[in-house]
Amino acid sequence: MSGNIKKEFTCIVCPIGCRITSEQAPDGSVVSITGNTCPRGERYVKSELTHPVRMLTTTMATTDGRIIPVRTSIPIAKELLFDAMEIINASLAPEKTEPGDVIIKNVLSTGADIIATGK
Amino acid sequence: MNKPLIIIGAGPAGLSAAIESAKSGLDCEDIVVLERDTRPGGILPQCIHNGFGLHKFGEELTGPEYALRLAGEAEALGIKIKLGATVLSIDQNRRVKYASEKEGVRELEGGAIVLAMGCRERPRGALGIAGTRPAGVYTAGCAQKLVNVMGMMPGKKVVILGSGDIGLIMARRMTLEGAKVEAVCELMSYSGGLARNIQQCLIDFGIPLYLSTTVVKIHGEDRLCGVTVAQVDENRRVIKGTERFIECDTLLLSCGLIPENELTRAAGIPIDKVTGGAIVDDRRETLAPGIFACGNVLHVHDLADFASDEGAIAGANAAKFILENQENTDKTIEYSRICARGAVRYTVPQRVVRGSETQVYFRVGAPVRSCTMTVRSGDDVVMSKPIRAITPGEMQKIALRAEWTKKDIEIEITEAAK
Repeated sequence: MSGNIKKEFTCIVCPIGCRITSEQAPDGSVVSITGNTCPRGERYVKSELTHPVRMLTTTMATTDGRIIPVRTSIPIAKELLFDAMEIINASLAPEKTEPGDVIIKNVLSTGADIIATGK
Repeated sequence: MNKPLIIIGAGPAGLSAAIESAKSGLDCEDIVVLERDTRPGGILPQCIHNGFGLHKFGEELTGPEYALRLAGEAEALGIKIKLGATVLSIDQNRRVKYASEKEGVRELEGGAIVLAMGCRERPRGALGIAGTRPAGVYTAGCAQKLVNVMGMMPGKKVVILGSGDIGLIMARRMTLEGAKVEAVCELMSYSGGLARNIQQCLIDFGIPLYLSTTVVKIHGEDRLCGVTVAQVDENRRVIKGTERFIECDTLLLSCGLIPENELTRAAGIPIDKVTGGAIVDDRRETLAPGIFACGNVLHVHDLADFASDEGAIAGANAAKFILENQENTDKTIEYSRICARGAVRYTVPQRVVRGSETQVYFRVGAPVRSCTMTVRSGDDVVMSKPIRAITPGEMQKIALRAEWTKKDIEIEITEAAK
């Protein structure tokens, strides 16, 4: 239908990386999403159209001078990635942190925690 | 008392081999895992990004989490890993010589061996890039270790050569830690990395990808100050006049992974020239009886999950070799060959025990679209199906039925007539 907006995405949810096409009406409502091989792809594109989010994986220093890998518990708004990095890089994880431990709760009010993924 | 199963390498393939060998009935006292690093996990502990475990565990884990899962499973089964133990040599009598600070130099005679030594990055020397030799030139994996394990930034202004996954992942990592990644250059006309990584590592951060482009000169005295890049034609030769200078203090090289088969070669075990790994059958046994290979030392995988799957196959069969006393069998095993044809560059395994069903992994040598995959058993076409676009960066698998492998197999991909 003319006036509709088509957009192309590469889904990042799994290593397959399906090419997904979305079609939106002029008012922004989603008319169709095609090309995904699983429902998560459809959810990803809907998310990209409204408010793109990304998982953040990085490292954090500990109080006893080591560094440990960390990640967000859930994806956070794409535009907050660098702000989250600043907070993580300014913080220190406790010495006895175990993988799975929450180090920072609800970073930047996103609802995501920063979790240790290694020792 | 059995001679032990000796597994060389405690990365995703080696750990999975150990776990599966225990589940196949080997006593954990009879499993020796030799790992030269100070902790298990292979390359995974420095791969702090997510994308691991989707196939194996149904969850998306980071590299360290995936490694901990496997190491934990091995520990729960009572499997001991000798850390800091470097294997110096192996031979076709399954003798393994290793050295560690704790034990000195030791020699073991194995009932079977599983090779799981992984792969190494192609260094600058092997690429022959002209110019000076300043500080600031690293392989991408080395930079990854500096940043993610040692907490050091290699530099501030970065050019990356090679758009395989390691290069893409490091483009994002360096950017998140405050560096400016000026460009990712790729010699080929297509990227070798996963499409999702182009999106989440380059497009998300506005990092340009220049295809058919390579680094032709490195500049700088004590420290890198820039690189000259140029476009290449379809024969990968530099197009004169396209040279341009990009200022940078760091060059990351992500130009290929090479299975590390020093030990394998020295033992005289035949290597496949295309994969760079040992020639194996469907049980992952090499041409040396009782010596098995799996994971990146056999052929470079895209996903740790598949390296683990392969480790499990090798581990189960190595255990069987010991438990069924196969070294003393007088049965001759008959094999059918598996041959790569057309656009297929290689297959693993290269042969299959006649009449067994198995999964064959393969890659194409160049991107193909609208093509047909044909499987022949002897002279008969047993399968033919259309395939949409596939690239060399995506390992494929196909199941072979038991009836098919009674004869030699050919796996062919041909592009549809234009």
